[in-house]
Amino acid sequence: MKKNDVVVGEKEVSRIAALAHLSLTADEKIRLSSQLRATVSAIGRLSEIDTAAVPFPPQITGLVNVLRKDVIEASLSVEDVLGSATRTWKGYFLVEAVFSE
Amino acid sequence: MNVSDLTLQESQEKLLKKEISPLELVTACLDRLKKTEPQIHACLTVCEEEALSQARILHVTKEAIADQPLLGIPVTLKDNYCIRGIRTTAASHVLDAYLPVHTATVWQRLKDAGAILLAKTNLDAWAHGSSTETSDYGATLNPWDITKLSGGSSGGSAASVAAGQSPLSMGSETAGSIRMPASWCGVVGLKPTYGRTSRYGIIAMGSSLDCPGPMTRCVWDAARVLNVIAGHDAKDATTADTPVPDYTQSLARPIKGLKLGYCRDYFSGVHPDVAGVVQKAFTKLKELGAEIIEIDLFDPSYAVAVYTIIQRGEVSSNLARFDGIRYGADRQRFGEEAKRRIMLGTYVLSSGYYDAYYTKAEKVRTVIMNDFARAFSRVDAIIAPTLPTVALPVGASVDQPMFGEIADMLQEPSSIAGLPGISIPCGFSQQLPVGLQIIGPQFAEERILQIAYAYEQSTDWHRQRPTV
Repeated sequence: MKKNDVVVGEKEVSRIAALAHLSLTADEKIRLSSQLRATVSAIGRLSEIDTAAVPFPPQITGLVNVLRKDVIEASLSVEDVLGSATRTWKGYFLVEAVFSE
Repeated sequence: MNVSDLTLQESQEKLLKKEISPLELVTACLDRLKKTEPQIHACLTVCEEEALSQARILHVTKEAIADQPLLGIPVTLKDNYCIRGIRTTAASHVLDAYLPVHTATVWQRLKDAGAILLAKTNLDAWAHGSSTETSDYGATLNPWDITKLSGGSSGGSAASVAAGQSPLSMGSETAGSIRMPASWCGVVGLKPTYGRTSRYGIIAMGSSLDCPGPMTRCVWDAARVLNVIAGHDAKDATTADTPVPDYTQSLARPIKGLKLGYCRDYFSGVHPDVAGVVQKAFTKLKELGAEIIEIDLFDPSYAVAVYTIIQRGEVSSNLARFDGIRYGADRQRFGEEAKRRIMLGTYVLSSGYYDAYYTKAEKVRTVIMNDFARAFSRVDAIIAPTLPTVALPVGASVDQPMFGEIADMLQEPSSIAGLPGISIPCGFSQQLPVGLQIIGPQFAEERILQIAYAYEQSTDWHRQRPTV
């Protein structure tokens, strides 16, 4: 854990919001920033526990390599897939452009 | 007693004896729903016509019930269970008009067993909470006192059963979301072992934690439902191949000689009246022949940090799919609690912080799992208060950024370890229900149901009904 790490300022909040694809209002940024600081501070007490020799846990009930046969099964129809989309075009989802000319 | 106050078992007995018809049962439940909804707001979508149509054509016979064990039983489902073609919102404006194209395996199994869907119930939005106050559609109020909260996140489900709207509701628990509202609403809430019941089609919160489970008026009912819903599902790779017994068969086994462990740390911060009620329950278990042993357990307060990190990390990942392109509304419509959890989750998983928070939390998870394994080498089950208090007033969760995680402290350790737990009513404090929780090793649902049944049958708490 980084020392004096509870510095979750506005710049950090903007960075996290961008990673999370959340658009926050100025008010939300202020509010969430202080709440985030409080939460990060609370969870920091895990550093009190020595886990140097502790492994990552296994799958919760011990399952390993759960596979299925590699066969094509019936899937959703195009109508099902596109049925809830707000914008579609000729069988495609319409999205914002990621490239400009 | 009103027809709508009957347990699942009592309802089926009356249906078999033709004392009531399926239509009369469904109608009684719907009437009760309509009468109580203005006060408690447990439901988001009511499926009245479909339920009545189904009930009209049913014939309940002994042979039919052998084939369909829940034939004729009205059910409400937490509104994070997807059902193809039926509005499913997760209590969030992001999914306000969402019609799933998938059906949750657990619901399909209940439906195939003859259950009748009455309504989808309210929850904390995305199951993020322990009050139902974060629902984008308003809080569910407690049928025992409508100035109090029902708990959460399966608050609508718990209130629905307590208020007599249906004998069964299905909830889901990530850490506390079945047991907690069950305790506050005075009903039975069973959280199975992780992987005992399929998560397929249930809107995901924490994928290494989520467990669908029943909320009922008595332990037998919960066991009966578990028979139907438990078992491997090819659509959920985390479900276990462990055989599913008939959970009702072993219920009446005496608990004489069973060792039940309790930990003092699980009483720390518990209201003295609640502690007193739970300790009387311990005395009753001792009278029934169990041995009550004090044990040491890993301090449950650390579980709050572990759970907060793992759960919010998984939440941030699971909610990333709501991009407003393929389904649902824009991410701007997430409520503040969802944004809060996504933000913390993204933070603890981000570069530079992942090892310090997420990896650390997962390693402490290993410590907690090993600690329970050590405890279960000494005792058969662990008993504790479900919650430190009875139902809190409306507004208690507002401006409390970690309300849920702190409220559920006593359930988080067992959830983190994937253990089964049940909360049963064990008395009252300030005229509000108190819950006793019983936790077992993984896949020991038979054992915890047996202990719960023994206690329940020697008391009358499960017969109390609120006067809403």
